[in-house]
Amino acid sequence: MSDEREAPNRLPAGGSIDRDRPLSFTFDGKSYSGYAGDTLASALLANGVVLMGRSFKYHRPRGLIAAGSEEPNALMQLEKGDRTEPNTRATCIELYSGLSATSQNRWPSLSFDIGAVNSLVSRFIPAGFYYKTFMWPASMWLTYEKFIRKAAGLGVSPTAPDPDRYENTHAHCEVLVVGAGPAGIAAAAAAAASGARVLLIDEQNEAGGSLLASATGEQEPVRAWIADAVEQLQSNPDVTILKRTTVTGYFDYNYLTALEKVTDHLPPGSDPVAPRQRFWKIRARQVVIAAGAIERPLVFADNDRPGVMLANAVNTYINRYAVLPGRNIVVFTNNDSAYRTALNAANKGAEVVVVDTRREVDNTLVESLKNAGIKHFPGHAIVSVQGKLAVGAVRIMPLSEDGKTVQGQAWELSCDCIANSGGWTPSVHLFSQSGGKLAYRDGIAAFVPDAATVRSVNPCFSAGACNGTFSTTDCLSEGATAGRAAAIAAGFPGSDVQLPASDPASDDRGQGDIHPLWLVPTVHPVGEGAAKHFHDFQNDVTAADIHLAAREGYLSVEHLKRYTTTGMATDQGKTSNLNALAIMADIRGAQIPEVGTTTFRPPYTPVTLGAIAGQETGELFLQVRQTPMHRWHVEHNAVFEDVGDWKRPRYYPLGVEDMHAAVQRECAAVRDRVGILDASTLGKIDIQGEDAAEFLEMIYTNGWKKLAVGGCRYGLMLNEHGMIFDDGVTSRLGEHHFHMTTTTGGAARVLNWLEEWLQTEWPQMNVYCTSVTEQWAVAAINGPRARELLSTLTDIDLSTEAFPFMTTSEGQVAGVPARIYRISFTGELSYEINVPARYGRYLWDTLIEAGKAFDLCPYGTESMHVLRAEKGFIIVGQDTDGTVTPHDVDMSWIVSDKKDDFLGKRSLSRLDTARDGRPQLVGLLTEDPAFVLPEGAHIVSQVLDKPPMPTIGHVTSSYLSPNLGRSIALALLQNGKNRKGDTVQVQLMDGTVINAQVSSTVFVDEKGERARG
Amino acid sequence: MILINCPYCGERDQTEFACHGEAHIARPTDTASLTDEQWGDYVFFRTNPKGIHYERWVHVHGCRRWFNAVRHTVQDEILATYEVGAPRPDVGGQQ
Amino acid sequence: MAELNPVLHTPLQHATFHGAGVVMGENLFCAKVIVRGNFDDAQLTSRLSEQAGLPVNVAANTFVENDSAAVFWLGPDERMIYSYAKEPQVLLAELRSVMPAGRSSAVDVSDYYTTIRVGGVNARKVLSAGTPFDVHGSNFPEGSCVQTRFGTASVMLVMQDSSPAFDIQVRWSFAEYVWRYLRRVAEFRTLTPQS
Repeated sequence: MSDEREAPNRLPAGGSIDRDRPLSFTFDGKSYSGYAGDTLASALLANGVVLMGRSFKYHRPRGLIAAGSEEPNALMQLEKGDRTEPNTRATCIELYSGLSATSQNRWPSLSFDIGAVNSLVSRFIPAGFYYKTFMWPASMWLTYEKFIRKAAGLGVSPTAPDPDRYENTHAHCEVLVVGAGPAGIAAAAAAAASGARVLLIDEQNEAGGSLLASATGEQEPVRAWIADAVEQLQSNPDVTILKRTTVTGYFDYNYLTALEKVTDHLPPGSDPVAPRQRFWKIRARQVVIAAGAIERPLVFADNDRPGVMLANAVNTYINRYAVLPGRNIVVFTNNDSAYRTALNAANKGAEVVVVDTRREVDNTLVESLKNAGIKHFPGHAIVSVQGKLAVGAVRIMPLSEDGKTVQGQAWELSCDCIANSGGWTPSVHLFSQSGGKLAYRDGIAAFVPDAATVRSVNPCFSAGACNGTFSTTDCLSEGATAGRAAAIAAGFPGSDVQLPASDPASDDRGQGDIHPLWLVPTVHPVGEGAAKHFHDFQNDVTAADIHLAAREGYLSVEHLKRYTTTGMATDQGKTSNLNALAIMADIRGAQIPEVGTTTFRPPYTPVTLGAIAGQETGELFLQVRQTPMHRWHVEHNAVFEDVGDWKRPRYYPLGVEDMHAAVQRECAAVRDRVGILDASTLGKIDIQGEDAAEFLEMIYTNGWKKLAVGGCRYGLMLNEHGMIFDDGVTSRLGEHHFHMTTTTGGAARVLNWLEEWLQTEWPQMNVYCTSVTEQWAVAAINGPRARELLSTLTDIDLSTEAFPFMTTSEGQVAGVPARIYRISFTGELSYEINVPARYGRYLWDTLIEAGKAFDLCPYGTESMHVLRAEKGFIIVGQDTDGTVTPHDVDMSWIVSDKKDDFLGKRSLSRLDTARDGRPQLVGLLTEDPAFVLPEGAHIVSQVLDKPPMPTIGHVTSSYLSPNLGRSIALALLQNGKNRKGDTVQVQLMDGTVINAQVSSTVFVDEKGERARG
Repeated sequence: MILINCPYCGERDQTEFACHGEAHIARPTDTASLTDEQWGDYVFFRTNPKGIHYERWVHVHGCRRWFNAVRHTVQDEILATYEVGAPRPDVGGQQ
Repeated sequence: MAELNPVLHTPLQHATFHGAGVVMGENLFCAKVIVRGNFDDAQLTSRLSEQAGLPVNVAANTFVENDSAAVFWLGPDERMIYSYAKEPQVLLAELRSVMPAGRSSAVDVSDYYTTIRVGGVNARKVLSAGTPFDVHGSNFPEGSCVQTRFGTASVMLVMQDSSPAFDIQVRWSFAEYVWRYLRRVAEFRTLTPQS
């Protein structure tokens, strides 16, 4: 690289870049070179690239204004293809080899952008333009929207899935310190010294905060102290330091979130293992916010021209990145802090002029300018900026006493950079998010945290510049005090730290005696003339827009924000908010605190959605539950269905079979021979205690006290509204011992239901419920040959006399302890064999092997649904929907009229629940036996030309029944009980109407003899 | 994401808990003698205060015990937690 | 009847993970019984403690363990008892025999749960990705056990020793999900080049 020409703005020495590690990158297809330690912004600036983007609304040319995460203009489309990311701030992208960035919001090119015509017609797109123009007619909005989206878009989203991986994790600490500048390091050091667990987080790739922008030789004792303190913190096992990490939100009970950019500083995909980003969910006992301050621009005519930068950003580029942004720099300020920039720039060889809106300036500053040969214009203001795509010159004029007008001799100063400072805005975002209130401090012309308003659930301290404390010496001591206090509040003894001696000569005294000038006047009143005074660069909002909003009555700061969109861009108004509300205060003749601030909302900086999802993507997106037989199902080609969180085999296709063919085959096998179903997913609850029967009497609609030991009974549970809530078979294993089964999806809900009643309403009952769902693996064998099959594997007497329908028996099956329930969900002879889950796979394999002699057929949930529908057995949640009573599903037989009370009983006699004509479950037989009604199709009372037609019910279950050779359906139909035999019309999506006859819900073996046989 | 002090397990993350609505609603006895209105009041009607609210919570991912909590619905702060059956605690005159 | 040769399976029997600073695998099957009852009843606790060989009136969020058994606090009226020596039915029958009939319960959950051992210097980081519970030694010392959340599954975390080594007790059906979750976050942590 040594023979290559150095980038034009790169200084020959200095900065914290690594000149031995040159890196090449491209911007808009053109190749450039920078160094390790550069950001994309500093590398472009070093190469003389000033124009970096086009503005959002007017497509005006824009360049960098900042060096940190507050940058509103230099938004880049980073990388290409599936890794492309829009709206990344060039100031936050650490340069890596091969980086590829493109500018946004321009066509066909950055220097010639057709959209810039918007700037010429800007008088016709004022604030509120969209609201006013596209309001009427409402029907046209969809058309307008497409146009607006296209015209107003910034970057473009990737269309392919994100190939990167992300992690999401929790952290806990006694003291969280946000910011690793002087205040934050001092706070962390003090807290750590007392033994507290400390988490120190900083956005940059190295500690130092504001000192990272200081020149070599400046504040050496403090920098040495910080280096030493960081080293000590790093070696402390109770301290965690996260660099490249931004605290993005402050939520209740000291819950904060942060985004760590783990590998974003490396070429994409180059680290095969580490996540790209990590999202932290932090619970802190105490928080010290040391987030610093953000410099705000002065609002002057055409202050958005590329080359107009914040003064401290210019300082940062010079000192940290060894980039001199201009050869002729005009420093324009209303406070002291920009003088450091002036002196630094002059020291590096730039021609510098200082224009200060103040008439009186501290004499030592004036002297230091004089010594450096820098021209000084106190009491002056920039009234215009020359140059199209970059700054070429400025005109300055003397300000009137009150700063409202300019008058007198104008000077033109040619320059290629304007370093401006309107003062410093403390970063109160996190404090405000925590619920604390802000107080306006006149002396620094900014809002600061009001420590008296800290919420008790969000204990925190603010220290340093974010607290309005700007001198480095004061930041250190305030940080140490806050760190100590936080540790004490977290229950640790307080510890002091030795701070470096203050050095008055080089101490950064911040903005000094600031004289706010919120809007810099020109020869024209604001809004007249061609010039624009921008305060919000990213959303293209000007001082004239604020005036317009005020004229139209949008005086409240929240209205102002929404009407003009100020502060609503991706930078959340970090550089613009205070200027906007101060200008509004001026218009209203009000004090700034009266106008107030808008709400600070998380995230502080944009957060990648992938990082929030973290590892919980793909197979970890949702919890997945598997039975002990799961692998067998996978090995045997099962197609799975999600039931609750469970993976259940839906059907087992043979060869090229589709679901229809497989289900027809499986159903026929069960009715003709024998089939096997994995029923392990059914919810199972062990209920013990002397009041267990009494308890079940309250839980179920039917009676339980008389159930004999060894007996099984089907039960319906209602909620207190009288609506069906779950069902299942419960068996009596002992006098005080029951085994309840629930629906697969309802297991957790039912257990909670039982526990809630026992713990809150009936604590006197001696009943204990324990979930045993996974304790038992269950193979259900169904079909006329089930008994024969089972008898090959057990000595239990399976004769109907010894082991009748609806009873349970214990013994050995296939040599392992088993409990068999002779119950049936298919209407066939059926045994549900339960073994401890560790033997589940073995039992299944053994049954399959033994079943070969009987042509045993594994079947899935789809066939189970068909088989039970043929019998008219309901599925809770499919044939019921929370508005259905037992009477509605023709199950009045299960509602005891002997019991005084059970859950939901009283609701069954409520006026609406007991009325005639409610939707009731019926069977439907289509006129065309081959036609299968779609589930969800509506039964209509009147056939019209096209939908919608008045509905009187809907189909809940519908299948082609292999055993009947025709379609069957269940439906909820108004007054269905009295319509048996009627023909009804079912409307399909396309408006076709199908005739069907209302029938009984039981289609096969109405007497139920097969299951009992 | 608030912290909740389970009376049995101690302070835990909100994501371990579920809220089951208003507390101190006793199920009526002798339900058959109630009018539709009285029964409907029990089944359907709940208070919805701005301020102090007595709620029933369950530590679903923890000990699976039900307990009651006093929550301020504006600030979303839990002012106290207590066992089911215990009287409403004094939360210092907060309204 | 055919010749039978019962084979035992556990949900993660083939799963192991070895990475820098993290070793994970499923613990051996053991008998587990949940006992519920009135633990303020001195007679119940003394008879149960005698039968279990360990005190059952342990403090909230703690457990006790010896070579043959362990007792975990699950709730004010609930304990989990592990036996490393006995068959599940034997443990269940023995415990039931000393508990008051009708006013307590003992339930075999040997198969309901499995446990995953997560050990190594990075074990805490792996756990922290999935659980909101603070597993730092100051909050979760040896002898602690807590029921909490890992990913979306309910789990019991057990602090086995401060090397550190933790056990995650999880329901059988969730075991594969929790294992995959652990593996994914372990890979982020343990294979990251140290820079």
